[in-house]
Amino acid sequence: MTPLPKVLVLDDQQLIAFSLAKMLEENGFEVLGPYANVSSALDCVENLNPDIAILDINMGDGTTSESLADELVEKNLPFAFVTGYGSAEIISPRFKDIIKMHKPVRSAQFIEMVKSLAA
Amino acid sequence: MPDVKTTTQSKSKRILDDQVHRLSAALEAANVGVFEFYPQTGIANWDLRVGKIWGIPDDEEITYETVISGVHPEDVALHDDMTAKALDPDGNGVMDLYFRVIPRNGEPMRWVRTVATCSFEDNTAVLLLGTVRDVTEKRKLEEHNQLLINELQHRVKNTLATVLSVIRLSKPEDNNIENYITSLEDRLLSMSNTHSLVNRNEGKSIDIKSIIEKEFLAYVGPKKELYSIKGPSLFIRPPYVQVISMAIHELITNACKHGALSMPDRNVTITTSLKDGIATFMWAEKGDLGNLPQGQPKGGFGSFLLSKIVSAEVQGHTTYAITPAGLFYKLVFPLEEARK
Repeated sequence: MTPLPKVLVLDDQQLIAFSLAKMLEENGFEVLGPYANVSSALDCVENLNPDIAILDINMGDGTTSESLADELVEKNLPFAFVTGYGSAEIISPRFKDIIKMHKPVRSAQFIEMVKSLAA
Repeated sequence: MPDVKTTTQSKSKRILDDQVHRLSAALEAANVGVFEFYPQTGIANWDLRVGKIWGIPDDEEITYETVISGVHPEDVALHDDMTAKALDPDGNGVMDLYFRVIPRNGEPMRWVRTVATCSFEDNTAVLLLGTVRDVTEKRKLEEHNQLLINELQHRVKNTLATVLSVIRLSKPEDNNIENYITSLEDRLLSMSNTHSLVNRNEGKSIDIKSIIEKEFLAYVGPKKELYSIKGPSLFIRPPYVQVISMAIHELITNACKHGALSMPDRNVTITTSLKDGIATFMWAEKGDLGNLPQGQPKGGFGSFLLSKIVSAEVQGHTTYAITPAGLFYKLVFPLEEARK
């Protein structure tokens, strides 16, 4: 049996993060996290070899996940932003080609999007 | 005998003076400045109020270039364009635009609105006459309103995302739809009450005691004998109020369904403490809880929220256990100095 694709989930709102995680687990993914801050997610990237990452943009304390996103681009690791209202507009244009999904998300669309990243 | 012609003239002059006076009082009251521009010579005149916006002394000769020198660089093209259109004999001779002015005397940037009309002679623009009004305050108010609207949008979307998450995470194992709907109803009503509480406090931190009282009141009514709270106030910052409220809601509903509050003459003891920036919230249902399984409560959304989500959200840690001595839930988390 091939190992399940490992998905890193980062969202400072843990209720939402765990709900994304549940959707992923029910659809054949292994979830790393969910992480509530960029530094623990960076640790995960360094040590747990995720295959895909799902990132919230705004980290609630005024910071963003852009530094982690840069790291993922560097590592050539597929990822998407799942973000709250207004955040996709403030993110740096260097991420213009990255998929951005707005919360709240529809389960089916979310899973389809993650599958496309895994393919 | 007075000269009739002189009397009539002096009466006309008085009427004219009155009108000029009235006009200038009205302009003063409305804070409207007046300007004229002669396109053929390039010379302009403006009154004190316009000069004040541009931060230019009133003895200086004014030209179109003077006007433009104060216009924000990003608005110069717009200003030039609109002026050219107003002066165009084939156009409607009207100009009406908003733009920014950077006063020469170092005063802060202003937003102004210019409304003017052009007169033509022999198909040539001869005079552009208009008003200038400082609309900075109005503009600030509009920007502030837009901020509020965006913030509201953000909160509504976020609330809906949270509700959807609760719906997904609380899907029952036993597929009992009726129970599921009742629990969802209670959870969403609790969230709604929390929202009101946060709103009433206008974004200030909220005492955990108010949260506990609110949750008990909503679920069991005014039965103060069911619980006691000891210890200092813990002021919870607004972003954490929702999740803490949810946790307390789950503790209360569990206690009423299977715990101490499902039995006669029992109650809940809540203890708080705060030391060196570390807060502790302790929930105890002391005494025998019948046939509730010992160890860490498992299964439902409530225990998942209490053991995993809350601690991650507030960057703290929890212990949650049923022992022969009762049910104990402890949440330890960093808390900034109390702010009222």
